[in-house]
Amino acid sequence: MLDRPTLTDRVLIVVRDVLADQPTVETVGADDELRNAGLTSMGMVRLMMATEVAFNIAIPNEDLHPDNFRNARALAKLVARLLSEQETARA
Amino acid sequence: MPLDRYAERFLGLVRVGAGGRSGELSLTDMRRTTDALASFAAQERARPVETSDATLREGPLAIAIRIYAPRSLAERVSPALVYFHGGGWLSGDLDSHDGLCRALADEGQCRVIAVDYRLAPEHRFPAAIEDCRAALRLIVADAGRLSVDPKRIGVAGDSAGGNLAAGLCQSERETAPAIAMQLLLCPVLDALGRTPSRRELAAGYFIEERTMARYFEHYRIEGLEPDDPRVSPLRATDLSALPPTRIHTAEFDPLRDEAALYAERLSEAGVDARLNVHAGMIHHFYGLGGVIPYAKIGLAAIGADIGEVLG
Repeated sequence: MLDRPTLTDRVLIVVRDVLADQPTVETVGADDELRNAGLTSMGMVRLMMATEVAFNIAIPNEDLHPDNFRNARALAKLVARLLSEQETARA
Repeated sequence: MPLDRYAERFLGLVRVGAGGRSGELSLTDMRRTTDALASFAAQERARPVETSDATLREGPLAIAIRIYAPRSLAERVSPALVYFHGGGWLSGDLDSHDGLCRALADEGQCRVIAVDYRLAPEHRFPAAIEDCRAALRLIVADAGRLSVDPKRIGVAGDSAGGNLAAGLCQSERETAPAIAMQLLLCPVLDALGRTPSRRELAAGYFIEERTMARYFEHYRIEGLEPDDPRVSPLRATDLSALPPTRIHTAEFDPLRDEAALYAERLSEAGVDARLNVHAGMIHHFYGLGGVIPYAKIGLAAIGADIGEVLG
């Protein structure tokens, strides 16, 4: 049986999509600093927007903090929290 | 008017994207930032516009161009805008501004010919101006083959490209046929920018004053004064006999005031000049349609100006 991809894996797919033109696209891991992987400020903007689309969430302004976008693992943590908040709001 | 909420959101994202950055951006990073702008205008690729790449040659010169032709024109002769992209004289190319050029061709119903001029610091002042001038001259000479009416060729540019277009109009006043229009989008008109908007909006509004200073440092050459009209068209003493001018700028663009001053001085000199300050907008909004829906409205207004002057 195949393992179900974790949220971090899914965030990494979004990250790799935004890094598509970078040599790091194949090697970037969950804990790698995205800025060191070649993500520019514009790339970061694209990543934030792509994350909202991919997970059907809205990142509120108070969560627009560099720490949340440091690496794929931090971003996955933010996504997990926003998804669970959405669930709670729906319930 | 307050900042448009989509523009505000975009600025918020840019702030986070730039957050934690230590020190200044490298030349490579400045170039990649401009290149990345293309992704925010990707939706313009759906416009009914045909493109073809070519090279203008004259002696040792070889200048790459991209020709945008609205499908509705088919082979008909049309007016044209020779386009100079922005990017602080050191970044940007035919791809970074491809979406914007498609939109201008479609909205203005004219051919747009984008020029891949040489960039600083590998090629400092006046390389870019020389390339733009040569490109314009060669396009005029080859107008027939390009299906362009040589009497209805204008120049256009955004940001630093607007600076090149404005400078070119000043230096080419004697040439025939006369340049039919200058379309300036959020142009840099004063290299050192000493206007109130440059100070009030110096940081946090997409184009940073400290980056502007670095652009000019990379572009200038020893002995070139920042007030030289060839880099600061606003500082020229004689602004008479310039082509019909349409300037589009944004309320929250640090370059807003220099555009307003230029429009005012052109009008005083008897030039047909009009200024449109887009309320609530930021620098380069017309190229950010993927994030700022108002871009579409702004582009329609720009297109109407093109049609009115060149049509």
